[in-house]
Amino acid sequence: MKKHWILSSKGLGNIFVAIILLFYVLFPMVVVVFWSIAEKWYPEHWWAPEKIGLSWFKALFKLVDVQLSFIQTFTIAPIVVALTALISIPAGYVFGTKSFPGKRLLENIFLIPLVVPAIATGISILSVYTAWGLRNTYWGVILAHMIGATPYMLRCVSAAFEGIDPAWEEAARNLGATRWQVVWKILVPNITPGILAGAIFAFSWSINEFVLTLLIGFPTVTTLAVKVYQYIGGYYITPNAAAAVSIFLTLPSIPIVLAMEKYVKAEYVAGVAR
Amino acid sequence: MKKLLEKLKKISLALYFAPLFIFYGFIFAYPIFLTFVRSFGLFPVTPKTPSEFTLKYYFEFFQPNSVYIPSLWFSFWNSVVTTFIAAIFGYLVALYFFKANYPGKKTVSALFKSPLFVPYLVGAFMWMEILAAHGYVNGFLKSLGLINQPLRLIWDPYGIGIIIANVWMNVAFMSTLMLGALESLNPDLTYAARNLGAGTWTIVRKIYFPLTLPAFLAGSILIFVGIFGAFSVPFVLGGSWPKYLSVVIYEDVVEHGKWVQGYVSAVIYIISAVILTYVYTILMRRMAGRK
Repeated sequence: MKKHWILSSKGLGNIFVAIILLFYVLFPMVVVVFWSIAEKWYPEHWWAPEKIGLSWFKALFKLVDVQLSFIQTFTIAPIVVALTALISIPAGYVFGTKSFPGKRLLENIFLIPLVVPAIATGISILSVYTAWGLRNTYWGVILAHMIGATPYMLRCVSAAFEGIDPAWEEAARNLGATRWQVVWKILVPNITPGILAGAIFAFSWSINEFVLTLLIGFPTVTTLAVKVYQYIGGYYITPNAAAAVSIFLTLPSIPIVLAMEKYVKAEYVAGVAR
Repeated sequence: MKKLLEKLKKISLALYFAPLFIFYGFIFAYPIFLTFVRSFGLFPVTPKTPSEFTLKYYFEFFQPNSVYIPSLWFSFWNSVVTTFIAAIFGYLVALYFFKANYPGKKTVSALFKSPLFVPYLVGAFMWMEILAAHGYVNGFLKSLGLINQPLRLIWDPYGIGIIIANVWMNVAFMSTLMLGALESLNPDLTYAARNLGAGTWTIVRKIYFPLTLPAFLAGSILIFVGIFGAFSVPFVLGGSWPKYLSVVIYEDVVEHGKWVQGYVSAVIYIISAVILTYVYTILMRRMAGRK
């Protein structure tokens, strides 16, 4: 009789490693959940809160500025996604389907925004935005988020266009398809996964962006990331509120992680920095 | 006529890049260019200051007892250490997910990726609560009787907290990338080596490592660049001395209004990041080419 897989020394070793890895990754998240529901937690009782409840969430929901940040965070991100897609698709089409001298150089040039430290970008755009009246505006923050989100979108869209075999287009043409039919039936369905992958990156970039939003948006436009900072490093430290806001900020990631498993292929990740 | 048409076609290709160039031109390149100009004291931001060419602020940066050079150095070595740990750890995790086989492995590997989408600020906050004097690590060690005084793991002079938080944030990225690279290898290589009597360690050393080296090096530079210029984690977990250059710039500009000094630091920060990336990429290509 064959032994059950879990009883073999190899099986046990694998499970042991899996438990350690999961603990390492998930434990910090549990700590945030603890802080968000802790109503009483003294340092002597370090392992878990003494009294738990949802009062921090209830209190935060009532705060008008938190409501506003919530709305701002989750309306800015989709607009950033849409605009980055709009400006990246034409360029991605050329990168993915044509070859021309200097292509590699041009591709690298569009990765520069990821190499430049965020604070350097931040103080550079700060004075320019002030002069142009973009500081403390909703659109100013959107444009600032697009700086870092666009390289990811461009990379994903280019990879998607690269994956289209030119023979398909030719075949469709030979079979009498019109130009629009080629676009709708061949290009659109084949690049949609790439755009979705880019959208996932751009969306998470926008909700995670902190320093540019702090410099450009604060105090008029404060996304949830800035709110987290205000509660942990600002004038007063309230870890409970910071934890509750962190949970608002991280919850959308759950469907995103699941979507990522489905759409994001290794080649999309390969060319982009975090 | 035909040549003219060809030319027109080429120009129309450039039109596809117009939205990107217009966006980056106005919103990114122009402000950065202005920062270069302003770092020499020209066209100052503050009104009533005359526009004058000066290298004063650059001298200030490179002065032997200034805060800037040590901050740049601290940002550099701290990110190198973090990248090194995150890259090796991520590679080992990828090898584990590649080789191990048990029911539920897919779920474990998906859950392991979750830090990828935790915002940096939230990651910093998590580790702040774990590593602080009242946090889990100190509480645990104290209850075991191993320490009397809490260990200083955040806001410390070595940036231990920054390293721990950044490793946690980046290890999933590295393992995802490396798992992709390992899965794209031709399985026949492994079979052939096995048939010739190679052990697991030999296969890892002689087949996996050399063939995934390009992806490993590319992933490392991506992590390095992200951490070297990072702001959130060192801002929240960094001590009062030494600081990341990003934090010094923020304080100079936002808290002390030292705009020109901030611009000088920003210029040097950008140049260092670009040079480091460039040099690394060249070395990487050479190493990958030799194999």
